Amino acid sequence: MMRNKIIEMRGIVKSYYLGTPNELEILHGIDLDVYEGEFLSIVGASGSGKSTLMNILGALDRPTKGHYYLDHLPMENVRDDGLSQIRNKKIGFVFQTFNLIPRSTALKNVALPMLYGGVPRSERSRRAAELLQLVEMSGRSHHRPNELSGGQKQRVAIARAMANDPAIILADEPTGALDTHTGRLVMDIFHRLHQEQGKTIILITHNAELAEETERTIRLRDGSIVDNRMNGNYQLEGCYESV
Amino acid sequence: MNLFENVRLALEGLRANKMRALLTMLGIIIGIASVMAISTLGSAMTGSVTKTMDKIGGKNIMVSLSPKNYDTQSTLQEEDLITQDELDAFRSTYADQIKAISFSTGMGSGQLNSGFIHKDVSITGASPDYGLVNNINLVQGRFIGDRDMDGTRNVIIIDTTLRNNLVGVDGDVIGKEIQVDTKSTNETYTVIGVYEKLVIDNPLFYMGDDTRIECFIPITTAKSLNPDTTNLNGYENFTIMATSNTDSAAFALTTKEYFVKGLGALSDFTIQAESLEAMASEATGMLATLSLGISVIAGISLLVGGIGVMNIMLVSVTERTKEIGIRKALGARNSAIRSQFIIEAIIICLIGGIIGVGLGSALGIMGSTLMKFPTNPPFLPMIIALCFSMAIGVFFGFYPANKAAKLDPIDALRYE
Ligand SMILES: Nc1ncnc2c1ncn2[C@@H]1O[C@H](COP(=O)(O)OP(=O)(O)OP(=O)(O)O)[C@@H](O)[C@H]1O
Ligand SMILES: [Mg+2]
Repeated sequence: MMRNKIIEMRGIVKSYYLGTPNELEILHGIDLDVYEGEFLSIVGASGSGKSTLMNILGALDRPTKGHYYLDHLPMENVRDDGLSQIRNKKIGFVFQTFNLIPRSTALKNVALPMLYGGVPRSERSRRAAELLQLVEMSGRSHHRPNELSGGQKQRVAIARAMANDPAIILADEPTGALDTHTGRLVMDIFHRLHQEQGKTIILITHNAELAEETERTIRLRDGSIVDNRMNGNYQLEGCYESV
Repeated sequence: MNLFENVRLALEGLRANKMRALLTMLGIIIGIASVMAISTLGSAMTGSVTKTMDKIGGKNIMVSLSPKNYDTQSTLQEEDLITQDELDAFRSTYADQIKAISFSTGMGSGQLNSGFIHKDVSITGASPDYGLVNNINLVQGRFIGDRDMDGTRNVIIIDTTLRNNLVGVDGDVIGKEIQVDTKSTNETYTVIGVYEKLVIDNPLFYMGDDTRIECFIPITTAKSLNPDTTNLNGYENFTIMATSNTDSAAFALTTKEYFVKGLGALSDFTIQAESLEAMASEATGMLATLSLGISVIAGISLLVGGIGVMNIMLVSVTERTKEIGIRKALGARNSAIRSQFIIEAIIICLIGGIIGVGLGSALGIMGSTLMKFPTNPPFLPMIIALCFSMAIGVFFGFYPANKAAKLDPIDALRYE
């Protein structure tokens, strides 16, 4: 059985300072396929272009060159409002620094993507409460971010990423600001979302052990993919030709 | 995007920065408050002028003969005077515009003597319609009638102060005989009526405390007693009371033209016809100029206030760059960000407008109470003021909101 190729990147290039003498190419022709339901990790040294790639994957940024198909949709044809809608419905972001709205309660933060998605008010609150329960944060739903610990904030952020039931969760160093123990709790939530809900998860991490836990790891070096391998016992039938 | 959610968000933001919000609103508050105060005062003034005009006869037109040239000594000739026939013709020509015509002539001051009581009074000879035209408020007895006129009777109408002096508040003065001495006459009159003096408690019409006691006798009696006017047959002045739906200012002009024609070109005299309404509208016209001036100041204040709102919105957009980035990452469209900030600007201006309307109304009520004509703030300017302040929010909020909407999501997210 062939699995759905939810992400297909061909020859993705990202350059800054375009057209100036100090033009800077950060990504040099990335080819990447991700299948629905995969748990993928991206590793690489600082400055290797992981976040840049992640921003393109998450429809926050456009590549300078190359083709990106998200769920078979060619992204170069999508206008800004369309990108907003894709971010809203198909992508769930989890950031290293949580990026919660400081003035809003945990519940409101979780409900926010649904607000932009046009979900009715009562349904928003109901689902937000349900998601907070999923990450075991029900007790803190009316607290503001500055009243929460780092681990708690990140759990709220994961609940928010799940709000519109996106196909893909993109997490950029979600455990980077947390201690090992809390990082473990957060990682366990990702495993649960992957196993119980079949979410496609792409995780950027500097932690080799955490990367080992995922199904597949991609290594970036200076803007190119230098390694793409399956981890441990994970095998996916017939998905990959050799790298 | 959800309007309610945006309003809630804006209010939360303002609550977090109360002092800043208040200072930002100040220009709007001052602008709206002054507009509100002046329009309340304006409607109080118009109202009080109208009310006083009704009291003293707003529809009255005073017609009189006056010399063309005040430098040369001109004496009235009998042919200058307006005859009864001319007046009757005039009256039938404009029957639907004339309610009444009254005549009066001043007899000057004199002394009233009754027993041991001596009082200074002024005597006016009046025609029967004088009571109607000048709003004489009779509290006892009757006013001058046709038979008093025909019979040149010695009857008199006194005011309540005089009545109280003569017989006390409860006493019956009707039928009582009193003697009045003027420069040239000493006559005895029978009291036929008592009137209550008109009190004009309008500071705009304040003309000094009038403590004179005015008594009325039939104009025929007055003329027969005054040797100067006995030989002249006709009227030198009279008052026309126009009907309530007549434009009395325009009718005053018509009247003037009508009687000027009758005078003839050789006369040293001309006709003056002035309507009280026209004089009052002159006063309200001055008020209109004043409100225009204040409106200009208010406009400048609103402009400055609007710029203040724009400034604070720009600050707010910069402060919340990261938040904007987060919202965009979560799928907010540019339009959603734009409306969030425009609504915030509208809310600031609207709250400023509401405070301004409240403050201005309070000032207006206080001012109108001082004017002895307490007035509720007019409704329409209130609504206009609130709509206008919202419009300021839209106008001055648009640029910052658009700036926020156009932020690049990644740059915004990375903003520290
Ligand atoms: N807006 C930009 N303008 C110019 N250069 C940029 C911009 N954004 C990123 N870069 C450069 O692109 C390179 C890759 O950055 P990126 O953030 O993707 O690295 P990263 O792999 O996520 O690193 P880290 O592990 O430290 O997060 C860096 O050298 C960075 O300086
Ligand atoms: Mg990074």
